[in-house]
Amino acid sequence: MALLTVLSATALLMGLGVSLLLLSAGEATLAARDRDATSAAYAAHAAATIGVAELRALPSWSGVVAAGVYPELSSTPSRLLDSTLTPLAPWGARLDLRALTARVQAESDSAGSPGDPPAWRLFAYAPLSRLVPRAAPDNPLYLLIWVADDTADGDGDPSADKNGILVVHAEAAGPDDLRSIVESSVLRRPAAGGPDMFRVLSIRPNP
Amino acid sequence: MSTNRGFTLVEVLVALALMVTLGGAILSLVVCGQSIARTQPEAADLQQRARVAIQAIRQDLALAGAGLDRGPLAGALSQFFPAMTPSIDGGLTIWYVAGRDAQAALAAPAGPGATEVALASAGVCPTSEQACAFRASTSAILFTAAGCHAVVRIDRADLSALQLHGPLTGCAFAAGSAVAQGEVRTFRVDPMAHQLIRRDEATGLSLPVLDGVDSMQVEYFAAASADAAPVDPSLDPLRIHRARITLRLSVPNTAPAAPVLVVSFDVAPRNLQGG
Repeated sequence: MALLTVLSATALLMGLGVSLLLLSAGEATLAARDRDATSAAYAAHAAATIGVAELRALPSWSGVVAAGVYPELSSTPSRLLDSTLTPLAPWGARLDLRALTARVQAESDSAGSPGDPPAWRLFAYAPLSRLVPRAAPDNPLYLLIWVADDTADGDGDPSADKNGILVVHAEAAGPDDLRSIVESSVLRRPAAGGPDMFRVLSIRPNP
Repeated sequence: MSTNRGFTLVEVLVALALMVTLGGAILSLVVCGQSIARTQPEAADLQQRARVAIQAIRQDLALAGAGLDRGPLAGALSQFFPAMTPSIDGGLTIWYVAGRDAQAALAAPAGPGATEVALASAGVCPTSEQACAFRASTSAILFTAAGCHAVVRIDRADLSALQLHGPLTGCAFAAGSAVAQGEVRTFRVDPMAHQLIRRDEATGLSLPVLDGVDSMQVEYFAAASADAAPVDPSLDPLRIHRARITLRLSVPNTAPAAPVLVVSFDVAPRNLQGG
């Protein structure tokens, strides 16, 4: 009788324990996904800020939206560059940056926006650890920044900027297709007798 | 001679005492385990709903203040009018221009009562089709450099004019005023339904975002610094850079002793940070 009581109580407790374990595991997974998405969102904002700062530091934007060695690359890239166009991502996968550029271009084309169709050029690409080494173990993210001419430019040439407005598309990519995007519009105007006027016109996360 | 002599009274008492102690211990473990098993899903559910609420609010608030990408009125909306303000029912209202394409200027003045606005210089559209980027059944924001602003619903986008769902109210918009596809949204809590609500101010329609939200408090800050003191948003609404939102969540339809979760988070929309 005592043995039966102990066995049934043990079985009941084991059942409760397993259900709690499963619940905790699910909760931990959800929390981890939420944390990763939040990290990626902050990293995308950081990438956008870097892209804007790098554009601001350039003496001229004439080559930024022109094609580089490959049509996917900017002829005047940022200083934040990885050593290859097929880098090993921090989470172990091999990235094809030209294919990722083609994806951004396809998404942009499929939106069917009026005006001059933009041609996205890869401007900066590096793992987040290049910027924040201590953040790397918990945040295996890769930053990508593309630039394109403003669709309202009106010159019909996506490789030349006429109106002094560029669009910056910044992404933080992570494992399991994690992706966070921030798009910014930036303006540069020559100022009489001084440095060019520079303004961030808009910042739109997940456009 | 038989060795089957039975138990002594002392043996029986000791065995009984052991059984009672062991049984009591097991029973308390089972009761405790049952209680945890009952409340743990509720606690996990609270955590998950808090994450959903934070995500939903953050995602929209991150866009607050996004303005035009070209033209004389380009830049953050907060240059002209407050893009993140308290609503009259205790919620938080945000204004933003939704995309880069549907942005134009008024070709002719539009005053209160107008149901059509003529567009000019849309930038991305051919001159004969200035409304090409605007879509029917969306919302548009109109504003002037002086800060006059309104939100309207677009019934139809003609070649170079927008037909509005209702008459314009409030301001008189001069030619050259900005018009852009955008959103004006209010987040608030319905205290009777215990729901977090997102209201579209152009249509007045409310969308429940989350159940089991008892209250929402919003504090406003004029500085980006984390230890700054909250300010009265009515005093200088154009300087609001950051909002601290505190949500109180509970498990719907349960006893008052059910777990309660209070979460507080800051949102500093990038478009309101200047620069």
